[in-house]
Amino acid sequence: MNPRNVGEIEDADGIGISESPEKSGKIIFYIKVKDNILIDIKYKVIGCPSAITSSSLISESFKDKSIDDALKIDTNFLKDNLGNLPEDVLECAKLSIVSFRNAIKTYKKGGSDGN
Amino acid sequence: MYVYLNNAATTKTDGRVLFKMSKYYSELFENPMTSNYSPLAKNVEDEMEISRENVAKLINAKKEEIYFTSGGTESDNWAIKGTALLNWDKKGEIISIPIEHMAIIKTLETVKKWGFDIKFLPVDKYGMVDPEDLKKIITKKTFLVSIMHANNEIGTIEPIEEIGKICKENGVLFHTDAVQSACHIDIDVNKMNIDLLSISAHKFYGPKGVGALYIRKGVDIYPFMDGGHQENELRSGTHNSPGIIGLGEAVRIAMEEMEEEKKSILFMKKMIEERIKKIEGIKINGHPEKRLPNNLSLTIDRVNAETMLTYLAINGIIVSAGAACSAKEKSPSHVLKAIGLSDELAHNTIRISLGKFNLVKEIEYFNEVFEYGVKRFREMAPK
Repeated sequence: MNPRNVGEIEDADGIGISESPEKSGKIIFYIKVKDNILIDIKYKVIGCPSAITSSSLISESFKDKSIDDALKIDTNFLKDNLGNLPEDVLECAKLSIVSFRNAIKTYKKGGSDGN
Repeated sequence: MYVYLNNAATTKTDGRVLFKMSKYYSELFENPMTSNYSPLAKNVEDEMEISRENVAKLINAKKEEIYFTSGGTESDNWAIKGTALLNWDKKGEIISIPIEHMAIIKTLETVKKWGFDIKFLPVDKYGMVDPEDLKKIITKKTFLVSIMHANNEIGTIEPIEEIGKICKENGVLFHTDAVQSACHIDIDVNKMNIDLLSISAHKFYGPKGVGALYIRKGVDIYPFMDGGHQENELRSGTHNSPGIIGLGEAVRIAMEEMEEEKKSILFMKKMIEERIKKIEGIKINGHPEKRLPNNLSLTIDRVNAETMLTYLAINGIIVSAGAACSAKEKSPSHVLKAIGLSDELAHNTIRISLGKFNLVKEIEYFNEVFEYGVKRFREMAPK
């Protein structure tokens, strides 16, 4: 188990959170954006291995990609990269997508909490 | 290094047990029910009776009170369904606790569907039942109390001697699931007033697929299997003679070596306890003193148990968890819930269960790997 890009970005342009407390799962994504490109992606995670794996995967796959590309992410991304996960495991992995998308949303709203 | 710390799930069969069993699969394969006209079958029967004696001696019972089964689940099913069937007309009630093994919980659900009343006594934060609560709840309709000797997940040892006394005073049968405790801590069915008791060989270095039910002389019970007259007509089916003989051998070894084993297991458990004391935010579940020697249930703040399990497994260490989203059992453990753990904390809980084959160097290795894992996963976790 060797997840990549774990950490925080102090001056992040967007921060997204997703939680599943009943499963002891929480993911926070931090993004740094320049000219509409994701120049840095980091995250903090507690959760089952699928939550960690999918977070790591997102951080590696979308670095240096455009915000528009990143917004296209959905569960097919997990299926394409991690194979056919059982439904309950997929639920945990989806946490990473929600968190990542939230980070992009807060960026688009100017770095505020994206509500 | 491969470190097996899941001995509450099953144990490795002792080599001496395996050796003893092997010839009952080969030259001594004959059916013990044909002992009247085959000397080899007679040998099998005699050896099976030695097993019966060993099991009886282990729990201070009589040889005639031991019935061989296919394991703990069958013994538990039989004890409950077999006594319920004899109360079919008047139905009545069974009292138990919510932290029983699923072999009891699911069986109780079935007899409830049959029309029996099931009452559960509460347990405290250690998983301990208060015998005073039993006194309050027991009625003339109660025909059976089933309370486990020791819990498989958190290791708490229930006050079964007091419970047995209350059952006896009220003329109620007392069954205990001793699957986790037999051959690990002392059992005396007379001192503890136990009428029915379940054991399973693979929990104490015996073979899988064999166990026993102790049925006190004079206790009426419905046969578990109808068929070819085996086990005093109460549990028919050709004897699993190699298994039964293996069970007896495992019991014999345990009677001789149990105390020594307990010492070495407690020593190794202490090594883990001392180490985790130095790490913040780890809580040991179950009763602080009245607990099985081999069990250590840990709730680790800000560490997901399934991730910890996976990480340990990658490093060759096998433990278990009370909850995992990819596990076959999807909801968190009913035991951890009953002692008041939230779903979140149940998902942060792992169980370490030691065994007699563990070595000090394995525990040293575990301690290193575990401590590093806790540190690393906490660094990864959001605050």
